[in-house]
Amino acid sequence: MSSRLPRGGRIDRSRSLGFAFDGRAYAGHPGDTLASALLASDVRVIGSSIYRGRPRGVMSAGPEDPGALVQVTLGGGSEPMLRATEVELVDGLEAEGLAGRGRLSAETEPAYYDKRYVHCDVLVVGAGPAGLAAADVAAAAGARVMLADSQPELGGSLLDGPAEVDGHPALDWVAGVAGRLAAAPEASVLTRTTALGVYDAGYVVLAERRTDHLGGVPLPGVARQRLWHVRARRVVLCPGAHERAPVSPATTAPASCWPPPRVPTSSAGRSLRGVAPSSSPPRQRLRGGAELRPRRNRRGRDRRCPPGAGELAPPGTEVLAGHAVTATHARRAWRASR
Amino acid sequence: VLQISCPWCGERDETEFHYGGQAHVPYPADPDALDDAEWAQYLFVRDNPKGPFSERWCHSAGCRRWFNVVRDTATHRVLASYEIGAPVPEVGT
Repeated sequence: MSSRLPRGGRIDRSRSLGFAFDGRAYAGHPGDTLASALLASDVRVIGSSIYRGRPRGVMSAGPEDPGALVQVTLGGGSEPMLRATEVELVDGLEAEGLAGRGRLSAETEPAYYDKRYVHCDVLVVGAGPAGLAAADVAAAAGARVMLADSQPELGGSLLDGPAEVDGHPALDWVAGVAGRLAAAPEASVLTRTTALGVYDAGYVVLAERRTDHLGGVPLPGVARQRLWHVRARRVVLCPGAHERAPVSPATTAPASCWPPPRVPTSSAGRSLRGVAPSSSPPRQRLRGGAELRPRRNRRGRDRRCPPGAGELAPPGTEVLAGHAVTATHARRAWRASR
Repeated sequence: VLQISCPWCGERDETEFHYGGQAHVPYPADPDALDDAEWAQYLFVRDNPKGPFSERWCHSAGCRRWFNVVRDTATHRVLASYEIGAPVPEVGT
């Protein structure tokens, strides 16, 4: 019943966390997001589309997810329109899937929020390999450095799988940079912090989530979230890239098996924390006997495959120039890479 | 939010300043000699360039002094700031 892999991912399998989704009880592990815990429990349908009620599910492993919208009740507060891929799993979390819109809580907000205004020499947004290298060099030069990343831990794409930096395991290098930044007198590191916007003259606004991962109980004297107004001499943007899912006519076909499992992006398969949703998905019945027929690509060539792209593909890859996705089939679930 | 360099106080956020419109608009030497159209021209009509633009700012939440700034209207970059009465500095854009 479980799609949980026996090992791998950034989770602690020795401990278990209980949570509820749409009124049913499930279990996950510390380190899970709500999305990875649901996929591990074989929950594919998170919500539905806003007007036609088509099933919607997890498409990615991050803030770009269009489908996995949930309302989360935690610590006395209820917050709508969160992405399951961004909600860290904690014990006692209650969530329900949304159909494209949520409800604001009528209760008085028990938590409080604060803000800070700071200046620095270098602000690095994103703590993947590029951002860590930039912050490391700037801190070594004695600059006042701030490093902000939306994830709970540093590393970015290096956390997703085996990688090497300078011939050593990448996470050893990440730990080394984190240690040097912690020791640098003028460096500060903000995790669970999302950069909201870059404005004139190095003005950047960051939102830091400070207590939700501790169980959501309001802590005396600790703001739930903090808004940072940063004026930086230099801003280094290393946010990484988001993979775009291939567009196909199934996107709008009313009868399609869409999206569980709509084709999740391949990078999401690596980032979803030790989960292999490999069993068969619930098959969606074709409404009104409609069928998806392959359609000729009117534009004549694939927008994602410009001429010459074949030379960049790894050896053994078949490149179909002039092709586009015309339909998706969901008889078999997608498999994670590990 | 712009960052503006006050000639007396240094770099501060735009929220400390008050805008004063185009700089270097001289008061007519003989106002009585102007007809209505020329007077309206002096009062109301200002340049609106795309690029470097000299304008007046007052550090109203700081030293309360007026000074001039050259700002690129296309990029919002503050290219120079200088005292009232000084010539427009050469700026590279």
